[in-house]
Amino acid sequence: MRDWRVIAGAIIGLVATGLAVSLAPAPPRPVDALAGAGPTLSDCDGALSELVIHYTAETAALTETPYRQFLAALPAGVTVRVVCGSRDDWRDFRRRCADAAPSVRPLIVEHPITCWSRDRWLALSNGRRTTLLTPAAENGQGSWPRRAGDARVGRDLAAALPEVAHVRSDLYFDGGDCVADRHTAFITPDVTERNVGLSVRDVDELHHRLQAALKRPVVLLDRAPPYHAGMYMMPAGAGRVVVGDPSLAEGVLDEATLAALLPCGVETSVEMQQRFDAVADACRDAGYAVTRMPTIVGTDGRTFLTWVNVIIDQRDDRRTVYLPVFDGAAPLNAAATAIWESLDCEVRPINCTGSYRHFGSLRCLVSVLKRHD
Amino acid sequence: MQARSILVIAAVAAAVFVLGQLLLLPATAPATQNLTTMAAQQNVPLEVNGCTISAEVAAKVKPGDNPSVQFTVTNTTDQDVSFDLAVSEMSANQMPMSRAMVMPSESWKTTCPVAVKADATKVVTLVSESRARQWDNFHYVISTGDASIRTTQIGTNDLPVAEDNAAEESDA
Repeated sequence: MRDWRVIAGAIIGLVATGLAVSLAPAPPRPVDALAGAGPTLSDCDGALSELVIHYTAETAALTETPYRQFLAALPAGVTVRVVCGSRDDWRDFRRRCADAAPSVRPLIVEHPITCWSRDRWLALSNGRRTTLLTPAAENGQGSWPRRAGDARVGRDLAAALPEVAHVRSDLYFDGGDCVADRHTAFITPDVTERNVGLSVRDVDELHHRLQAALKRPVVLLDRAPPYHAGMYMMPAGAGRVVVGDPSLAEGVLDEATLAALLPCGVETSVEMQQRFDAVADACRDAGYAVTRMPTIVGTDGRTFLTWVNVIIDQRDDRRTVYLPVFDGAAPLNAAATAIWESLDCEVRPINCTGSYRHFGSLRCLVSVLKRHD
Repeated sequence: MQARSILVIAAVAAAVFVLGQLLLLPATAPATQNLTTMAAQQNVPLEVNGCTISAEVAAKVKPGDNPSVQFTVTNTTDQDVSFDLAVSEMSANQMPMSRAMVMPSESWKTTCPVAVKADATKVVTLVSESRARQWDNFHYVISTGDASIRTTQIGTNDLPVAEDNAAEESDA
């Protein structure tokens, strides 16, 4: 008699506990950390709401002019988070730039950083919360303490801002390796190069992983110019992508001007032109209309005179393009302005002469944390 | 009386069940949720002739040093195997203040014959002929011809002399 009571009690206890355990919410595994995150932010859709820039006094010569002009041109109500390594950097920023924008907010991180905010993270937004997806490691962080500090900024922002979360990916990328609109994220060949054989076995796995993380269809560009996507392409909304075209810049500037603008020399090879054309073809294959933009590439593959490295703000059914312009390149600045205006955009020029020789222009300096419809 | 006994035994069983879960949990799932990491980093291994090959760069390299790459070959078969691995070093220099390194290029390469006994593991260290400069970054591509893996990067710290001097002074 006692035996059946023991067995029944044990069975009832185990079943009841098993039910309770199985019905209780399981602790989310690390791989689910992006489960509640939204898709990656579009580069061309929605109104700018909150931006992030980095500032260091050491690189003021690169950033002061573009920051002053850009902050002064922003519409009211846009908050700009200024990440500074130290209070001295913040004081220097205020002295040089703060009068240009009333809505700047400092974030003093107390560790070294560079001035380049774009590559640090990709913003994923579900409309209420922004998740910053940071790469597994930063390119060059082993040789440059400032770059190692850059790798911490995503976490710094999440710690400081309650509506921002941070997830570190196990993939290797720069934020500049991705441009996106509401429908598609375009990814540079560098991401394939950096990950296949290291973090993923093959291109298919990379494609799957990126689509899962970015929550948009992903186009992995298999041929493109070197360097980041924002140097040679930019979605413009309404199913259109603007793609660089070196041939459109040929002969516009004289040799002496070109030599002064790009001391490393201008890359004029057929192969480079074909790389730009391959990007245009990939966009068409993805269903986009393509507009070409004059572009000049240095032989170092890093120095770009590019007019697609823009920040786009869309509000009241109209897009405003914050356009990098360069001293000494007036005819191309004008041509680029005309092309963006032909796409029904208002253009606000931002002088990036001080920064492009350090391999970056406006979009490389400015990250978008939030947009609203 | 019978019902009370069953309830007591059920409670004991439930407690044992929960205790078992708690004891087993650390071995099967993270003790705490790590919200900042999607998954543990695990480099993709290369597989050839029944061997698994994983590679890593040296833990540290200073200007003037020759960087090195180390790879581990695990033979999971019951046969001795031998094959050649092509190893190429890619390096790039980070210019201070610039957004990115200059484009990586091949700075050294070699072919490494590997022979591993059955069910054995062999660790091979190759020292590059390159001399690391300030701001240099290195990574290595290990290839069998059909497939390849790459290592993470190793870079030269930008303040090695000062740090080393400081360390030596404090030691003294």
